[in-house]
Amino acid sequence: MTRTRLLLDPWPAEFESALPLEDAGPEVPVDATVETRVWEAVPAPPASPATLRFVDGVRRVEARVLLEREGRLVHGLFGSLAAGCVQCGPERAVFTETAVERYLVLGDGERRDARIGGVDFAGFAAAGNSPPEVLAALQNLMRTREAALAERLADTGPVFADGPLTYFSDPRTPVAGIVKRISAPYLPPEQFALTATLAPAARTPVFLILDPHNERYSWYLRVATGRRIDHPLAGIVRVEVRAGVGVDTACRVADFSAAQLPRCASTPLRDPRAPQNLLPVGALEEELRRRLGDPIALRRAIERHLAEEAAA
Amino acid sequence: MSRLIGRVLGTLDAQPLDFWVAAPPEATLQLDDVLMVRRALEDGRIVSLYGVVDQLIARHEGARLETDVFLAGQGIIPLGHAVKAHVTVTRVEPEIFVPPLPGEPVSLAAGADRDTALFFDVMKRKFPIGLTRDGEVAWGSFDFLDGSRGAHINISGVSGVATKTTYALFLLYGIFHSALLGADAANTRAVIFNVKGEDLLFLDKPNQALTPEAEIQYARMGLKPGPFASVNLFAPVRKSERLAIPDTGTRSEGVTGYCWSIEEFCRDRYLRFLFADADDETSHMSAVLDRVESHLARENVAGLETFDDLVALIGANLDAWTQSAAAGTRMAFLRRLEAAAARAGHLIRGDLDVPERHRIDLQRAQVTVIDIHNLHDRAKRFVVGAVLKRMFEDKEKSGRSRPLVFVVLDELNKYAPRDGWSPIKDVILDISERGRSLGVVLVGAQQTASQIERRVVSNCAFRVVGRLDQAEAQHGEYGFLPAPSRARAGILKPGSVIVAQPEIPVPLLVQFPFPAWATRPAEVRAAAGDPFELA
Repeated sequence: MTRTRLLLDPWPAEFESALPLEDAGPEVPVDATVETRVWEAVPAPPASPATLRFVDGVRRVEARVLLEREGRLVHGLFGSLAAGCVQCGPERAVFTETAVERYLVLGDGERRDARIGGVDFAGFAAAGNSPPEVLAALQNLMRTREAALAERLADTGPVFADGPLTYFSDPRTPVAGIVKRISAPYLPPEQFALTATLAPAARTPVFLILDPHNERYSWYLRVATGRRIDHPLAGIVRVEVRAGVGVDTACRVADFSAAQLPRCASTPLRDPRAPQNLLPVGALEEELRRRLGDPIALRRAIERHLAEEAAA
Repeated sequence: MSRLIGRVLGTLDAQPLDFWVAAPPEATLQLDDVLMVRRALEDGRIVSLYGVVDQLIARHEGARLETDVFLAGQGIIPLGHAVKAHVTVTRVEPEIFVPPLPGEPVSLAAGADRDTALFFDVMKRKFPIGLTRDGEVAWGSFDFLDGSRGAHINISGVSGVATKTTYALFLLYGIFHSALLGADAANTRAVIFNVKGEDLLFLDKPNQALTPEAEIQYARMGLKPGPFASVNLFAPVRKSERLAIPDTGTRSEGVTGYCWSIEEFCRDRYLRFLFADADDETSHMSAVLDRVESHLARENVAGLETFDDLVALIGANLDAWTQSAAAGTRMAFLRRLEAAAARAGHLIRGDLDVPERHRIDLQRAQVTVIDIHNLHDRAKRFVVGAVLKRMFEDKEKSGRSRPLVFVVLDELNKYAPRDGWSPIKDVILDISERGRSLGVVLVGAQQTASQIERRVVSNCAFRVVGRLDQAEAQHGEYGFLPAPSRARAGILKPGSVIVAQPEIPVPLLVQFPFPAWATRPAEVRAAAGDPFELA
């Protein structure tokens, strides 16, 4: 009898699992023959480092607030978000296009602006009225900003976005989304098994996810090898492009990603979500968080503002 | 005029007397830059803080690991450059000690702002002490040199980089060849002891190696480059030579051979300076010395021709003159006297036709150079002691502090060592402590200030260091140097010194120009026409 081994999900426990896979078959149909009929690993073509751009965003709840209106409780929050781009190469990496926005998100269709300590919080009405729905509204705002920025930059060269492309409006945008956490295998088990055996910088063939709302081409790519104790899927990312770009472009982007992304893989020393959270993206997140400003200073300003309102 | 260079840093403490400035990485900010920042008070007054950059730090911003620098080099992670400068405040006007506010713009002080920052605006009488790194003139307050509020200069630095004496002479040149001395200029004197090579025997000749750049540097300081205008050169007379000709190798023209007549030696009681070795100091010995000196002063020595004759006379009378002394002390005295005779005896002669011609007369020129480099240490001490004693006594007799006399003495450790006592150390201490009121300014130099009598160094208003050995720089004598200056003293180039003076709270690093006077025969500018050239 073979003894089963415990393997590590390498991300620290305070993060969600990198591998929230459930043992279920593909929920959406997949066409795994769009690139090739032979299902085997595709090595990265030889290439010299190219200029890469990564777009990402961060958000932060500065303070949760409540509003009493006609006996009803309205949930809300003061939130900040930032989106930006990091351009890697030629020769050096730089941050570009970073922008910060701040919102006062209120549930139940309530909308009001606030100016606090010289900082404007734009009013935004969330659809629902539960704390998760209010938070989701802030998250959506961030993802929308990211998508808009990535789409704008896509005209001038390769752009990688963080996460799936759910928020992209243009089905033909050549932006590639890098999904760090594997929540659904999409592929049937016998094909998904290839993923675990991929060598660094090798990928699966491109497959088409036939999601009626969001058709896209996708592939799995190993950006780095894990340790012996890590689960074999550690170090695997799923990359996707919108189906509107066509299969040829999708394959080209797949080769490009395999040739370029592994050199950006992080190590546990630099990033707890290594290696999938790429180094430039980690740096961009840190920079964006810095741009959000000091949370304590903002919280104090909000508290002072509320105190002044109460006194008025 | 003053231009913006950065902003007061807010992530480190900004204090009334020191603060940090963040500078954009593209701005060239360097050590010694003079900065200023203003602070508006609520009553409408503006406080200006002036200071000097004494630390500069550049870092990668956003890097968390040392190896991030490689990733940035590969273009994988973006890192910013952050440059911060530490400013030590030199002056606050008006004197309201408030910290500068983080974020306030900081400018590089120029023109009148720079003069204010470094107190040059309040120096009523000033002399050039060199050029700062930005090419501007740095001034010294003459009030702290001429005795009004302080006096004396002490220069430390390793040998061989030709800095100490050159800098002392540069200072003298600036003082003598500017309008600073006014009516006193003609009568102000300098006594310079030449202790190494024959470098100083060409002070009266222009330096043909002087570059146009150096001429510009002189011009910046308001000086016309050239040789010292009024110079008199003395060298010891040759040993075993009937004629009293100077013992020099590279120059004999215009050099006077010096020596003392036996009569003068006895009358002025110079014998003690032959006993100036550290091991000569016992109370028994000095009692014998006193007795012998006072007898010699009364004795008729007119018939004696050589110093050996004088030694013989002393030997013959010693028992009678020093009856109370132990025989052993007398023997020791004689042994030392004979040793001194061998080393310095040729400088004391009774066979001169006109002894006055060979007397070191400080009044004949503005600058008197006395060469002692070829003499044995014992003879060097004798010459320095005898000349300074005479000069100081003359000053005491005149009772006036003007005109000034500058004394330039290198290898001060030989004459005023930290440990022990000697008659010459006594003279130098006297100059250090009373010279200020008598108008005698000591410009002393040595390799290591830690080996010099503390009181000599502590009486100096101006402290100068050239390149220092790093271990030496850690001594307490250099406490006036902040840590970054001490570190820099280890790498100073020839032609650069750090000068501390009482009126400026930070030492200034200055450069001084190449000598405008010749320091060796090769630098002597050829005369306009060769008198022996055939027409």
